[in-house]
Amino acid sequence: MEISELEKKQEDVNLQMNKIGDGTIKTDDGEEVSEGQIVQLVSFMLEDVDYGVDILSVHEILRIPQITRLPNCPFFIKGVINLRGNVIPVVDVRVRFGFPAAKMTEMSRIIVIESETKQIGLLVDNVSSVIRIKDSNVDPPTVFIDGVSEEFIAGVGRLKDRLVVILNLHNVLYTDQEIEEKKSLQVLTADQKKS
Amino acid sequence: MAYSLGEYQDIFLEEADDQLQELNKNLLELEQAPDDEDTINNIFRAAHSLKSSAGFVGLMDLSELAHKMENLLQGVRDKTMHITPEMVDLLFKCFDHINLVIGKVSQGEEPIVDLSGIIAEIGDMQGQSSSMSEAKEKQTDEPAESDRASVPKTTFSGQEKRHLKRGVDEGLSCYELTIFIEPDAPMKWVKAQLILNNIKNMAQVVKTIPDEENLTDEAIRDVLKLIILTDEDLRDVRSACDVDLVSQIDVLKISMEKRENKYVIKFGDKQVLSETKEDEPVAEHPAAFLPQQPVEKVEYTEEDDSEFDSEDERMFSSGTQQSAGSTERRTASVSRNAPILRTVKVSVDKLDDLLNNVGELVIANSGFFRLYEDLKKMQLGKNVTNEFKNRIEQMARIAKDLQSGIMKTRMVPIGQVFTRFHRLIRDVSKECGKSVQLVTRGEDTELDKKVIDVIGEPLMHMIRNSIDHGIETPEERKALKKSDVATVTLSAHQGGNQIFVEVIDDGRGLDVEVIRNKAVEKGLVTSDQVGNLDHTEIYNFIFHPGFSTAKTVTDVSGRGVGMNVVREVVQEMGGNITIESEQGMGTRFIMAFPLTLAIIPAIMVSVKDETYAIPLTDVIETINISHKDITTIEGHEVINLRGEILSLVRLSQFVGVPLNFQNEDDIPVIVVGYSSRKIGLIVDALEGKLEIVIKSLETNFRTVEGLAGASILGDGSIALILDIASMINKVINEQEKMSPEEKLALIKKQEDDYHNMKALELDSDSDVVAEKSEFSLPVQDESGETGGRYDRASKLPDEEAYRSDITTSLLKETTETKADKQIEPLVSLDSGNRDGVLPGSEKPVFDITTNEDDKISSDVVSQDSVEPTAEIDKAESNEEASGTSEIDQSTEEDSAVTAEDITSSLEAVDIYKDETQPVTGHQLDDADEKVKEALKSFKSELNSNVKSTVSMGDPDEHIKRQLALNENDLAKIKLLANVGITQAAESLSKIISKRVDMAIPDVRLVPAEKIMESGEYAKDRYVSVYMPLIGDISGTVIFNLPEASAFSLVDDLYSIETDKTMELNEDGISALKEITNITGSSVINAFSERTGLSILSQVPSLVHDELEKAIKIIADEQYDVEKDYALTMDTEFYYEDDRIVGHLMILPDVKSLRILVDNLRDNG
Repeated sequence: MEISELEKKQEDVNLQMNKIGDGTIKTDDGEEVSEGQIVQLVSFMLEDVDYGVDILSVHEILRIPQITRLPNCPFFIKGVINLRGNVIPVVDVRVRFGFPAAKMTEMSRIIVIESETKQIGLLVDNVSSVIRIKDSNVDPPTVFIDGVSEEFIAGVGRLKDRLVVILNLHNVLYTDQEIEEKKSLQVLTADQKKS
Repeated sequence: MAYSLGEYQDIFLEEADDQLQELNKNLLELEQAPDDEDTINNIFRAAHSLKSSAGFVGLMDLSELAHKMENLLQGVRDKTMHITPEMVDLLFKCFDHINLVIGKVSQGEEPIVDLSGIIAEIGDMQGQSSSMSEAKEKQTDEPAESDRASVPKTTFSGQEKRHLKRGVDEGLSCYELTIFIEPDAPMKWVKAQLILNNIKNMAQVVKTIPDEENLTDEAIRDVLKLIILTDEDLRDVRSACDVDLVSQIDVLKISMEKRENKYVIKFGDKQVLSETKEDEPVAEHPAAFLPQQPVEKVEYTEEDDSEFDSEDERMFSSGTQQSAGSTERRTASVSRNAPILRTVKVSVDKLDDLLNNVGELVIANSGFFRLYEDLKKMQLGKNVTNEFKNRIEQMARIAKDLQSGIMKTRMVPIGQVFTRFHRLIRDVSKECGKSVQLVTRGEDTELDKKVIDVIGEPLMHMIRNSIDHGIETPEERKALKKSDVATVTLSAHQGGNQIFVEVIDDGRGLDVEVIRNKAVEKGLVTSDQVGNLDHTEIYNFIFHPGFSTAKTVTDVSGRGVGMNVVREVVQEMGGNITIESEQGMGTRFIMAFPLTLAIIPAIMVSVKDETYAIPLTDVIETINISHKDITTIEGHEVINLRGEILSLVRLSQFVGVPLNFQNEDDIPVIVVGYSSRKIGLIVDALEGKLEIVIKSLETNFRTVEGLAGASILGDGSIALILDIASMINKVINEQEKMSPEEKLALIKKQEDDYHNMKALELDSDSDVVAEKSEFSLPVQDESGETGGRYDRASKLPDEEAYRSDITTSLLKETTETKADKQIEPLVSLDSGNRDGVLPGSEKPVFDITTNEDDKISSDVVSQDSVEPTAEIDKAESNEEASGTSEIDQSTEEDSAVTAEDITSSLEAVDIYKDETQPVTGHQLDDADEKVKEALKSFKSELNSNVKSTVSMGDPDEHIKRQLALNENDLAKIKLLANVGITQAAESLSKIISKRVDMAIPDVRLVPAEKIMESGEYAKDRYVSVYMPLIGDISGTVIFNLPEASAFSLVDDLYSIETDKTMELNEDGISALKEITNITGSSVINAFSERTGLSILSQVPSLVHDELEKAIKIIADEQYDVEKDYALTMDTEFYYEDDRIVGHLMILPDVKSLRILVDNLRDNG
């Protein structure tokens, strides 16, 4: 590839990312912040609430392929899909959050995320856009979000006109029991370290 | 013929290549940073590894050279020397030499390279005089020519020297002991260890060559050197060394002399002057003594440098030209002399990736075939499509080859694992005070790398177990006339698509009794159940965690952990393990692993629209059964598979999809094996066999119970692979957790589903169907919404079906809630259906009674199916049925079962049983199944609870009631038996031309367990002749004669003088067999004629033993038939003056007895 082409590519990317020549990026609220201060989220809408997944952990976004049901699994595991030869589980986010199971529509997508070296698909009703928020506008999960329990929330991003719930991907995937186990394990190891 | 170093050549070359690269890299670094200790250590390590591996394959010169390098560097490490450019040069030169040798070996040439020059150079470098190095050369040359292994040269590290000096200062004598061990002595390192231990008792050991930690046969070769400090007499020292197979002991006195201002260690002793007369000054004392020392050294090396070069040239003159410039030489040598290696180390991960991709390739390729089919339809002209097809096939072939090629790279011979155990066996057997030899077979057998990596541990546990528990002490072995040295055999071979790895010992074998008792003690099995287990099942208890029969826990084993680990590892690798053992003969652990783990053949099955793969290794057979074949016992569905009770598991239930009863007469069942048990897996359809690539679910998720992984099929869809073992465990656990009520509910649900299906089929206008169509409406809507790309349409019919199932089960539930308190409604539901659906309709009644979780009630079921006569109003029978279950419940509540309870329940049954009418052939089979099962459980019930019952009355009476026999029946049997025996008497009379009379004065019915008691002669020696019966009646006819009677009968038959026959000869045996044949057959014929059943007796066999044993032998031999009751007939022979009494016994199995009695009644 010619160097000029490469440059052009980079420009495209910059354009896409709202990057302005001097290394700053425009947030969705129109603020210009430097690259390190921005949080970018892949967002989807669920029951009138915006949710966001950190773009760095998003591997790709898929239309719904054939999903194979996985028996004897937590209720929120929709099944597994074949992603270019990899078998990855799909979490029905609606079910996980306690809403009725999703109907698959033209808009349904699977957000493939990478968490702890594992790839996991999140089945969502839609993927709306990439949201850019200044990191100072992200609050810890103190705000109670209707219907979604706190454990799934990593933080809440404030935009001018609305809030974006940032998901704690780790807890979305595991069952409550597994989370408990992990927690107790962590406590245990912490205790051991202390002693 | 190419030169070869033997079987380890490849490993050696591979290793050497690594070491050379390491060496080269580090030498270059050393040149840059001479003082970097890490670099020096790295070089040291590389040289050390080279030394041992070269020694291992027999490249002694190379080993020696590496050893010298090591020594040189040791000096640097000890700070007695400094790295100089000359030294680096020398090291490079060493490197070149090593490279040359290895290069030659890898090219298949004999590495005739004279290394003595370079070895000497190093010696010089270390400060030896030139004269010495020459002597040294001689010394090293000489052993190379003779068979005598080379004597390693003694050098001392700084610390050792200090140790020496301290010792000498204390007035101890210092000796160098050179011990030559017979070259062909086995396990030299053991000898060495022995000597060392002896010496340690009387002396301080300053140094051993080879290192004490490094005492292996390879390192020792034939020579062990010890430097000791002692005040003992030299003779004692010598005798301490003089163990078996030591050929020569040389002792050198070492003295320390202070020469000028440095200490020189001096070797010398009259005895060995001829061999090592030179003083070996071996470096000097630490630098603290001699600040100027390094300078001296430098001078040495500089002086010798030119010499080195000339030697160099001489050495390479035959081979490659060595260029003068050292740097140039280095780089050039790397390219020119780089050994050509035939192996490449590749990480398994890379192979896995590759395999994964190839798998994808195969899958992608199959897409082309579909494309081809489409193209064909488009009629593009034959040429194009044919060419296309050819290309596809070619590609498919290549892909397949590629796949199998990569598979092969994962295969590793098991020999390398086996060889590890020589040492273990030696250690463990020593520890246990036993002498054991290891025999390995099939070392070339290749296993998947993954298996090879983990198989060591299970093998270790098994070997330890074998030696510690299995193998007897030498004294015991002697007493048993076994060879003194026990043998443990490790063997591997391929059979079918499995690899078998076996650990065999010739020890005492597993003690079934001990294991059985322990299992009961541990509560793994009840004492009732244990009786029904065969040996294999009992052996399997030793795999339970914490199961140990060892009386004492030793260091080696006995904690009961090992065998559990073994099974876990083996199963993890997709294998299974079985045990064969013969008391007193030994034990054989057989591990079977699939040929390869990455690609497995599997049977594809479907439930609803889901496809699952079952690894073919788990599949025993596939059968088709009819719904009618299924019987429910205690909440478990079972079928009779060729006389074996096979539990069934519904895959649909396991994976949580609704039951599907589409073709109830043709249900596919996959019989899968799981450890030693089998179960039948009910599926909806078989989809064929497929080679699948296993993809783990853990990679992106976690393990899912019951699933071994997933596989991507040709069309890109995913099929889940069932993990039979964990699946069965899960099902069993769930069933055990379930309360009887839940089980009942489950079965009820299943039955309800079934009946609903029937109902649906029967009247298609029913409300249920109407509702079904209502439900399909929203589904339709949904499809409208989704449509399009998601290809959901194909799933719709099932969803619809699913919904209808929900509907029906909902509908059912209302019925059930009504039925909750009493079972009647359900029964009446059945009777409602009765006219329409005969075969299925009675089942629920049975099942529900069965599921009262009472063995007696299951017996009840058996009774009623057995007795298909009489006619009682259905409504009445329903009442009776509920009555029965009430009684059952009361017995349940009251754990102490009284005779009355049983009897009353039996009476209830007597009426109840008459309900089942009419009997079809299928039903009869079905009923027979139930009888078998039920009686089995009843028997155990009898054994545990009903002793009181037996004691309360005549066992005869009890059984008769049990089997619904009456005196009339027995009278009829007696009559027929007498008819038969009279005929027999006539035949006999004719044969021996003398009048023989026979009579059967009494016929009794005895439970099989009681035969002995009724016989009263259990310990007397009897002659028992037995004939198996086949035909409509199966069972065994046994003719028991007291020994004396038998003998006198033989006497009579052969007209020998009375009391002549004292033991049975051939003639006697055949005579007795003939008599039995005649009498038995006659009686049987009488039965046969009267009842119209066809009964055939087979060739008689004879047992001559104590009655108890004889019966046992017969029972064992005829194990396939359950003989619970015996018709015993006392038979009297009247022969002239003699009256001989024998017992004719007919042991029909229960089923046959019923048939017999029924037919007697019908035709009597």
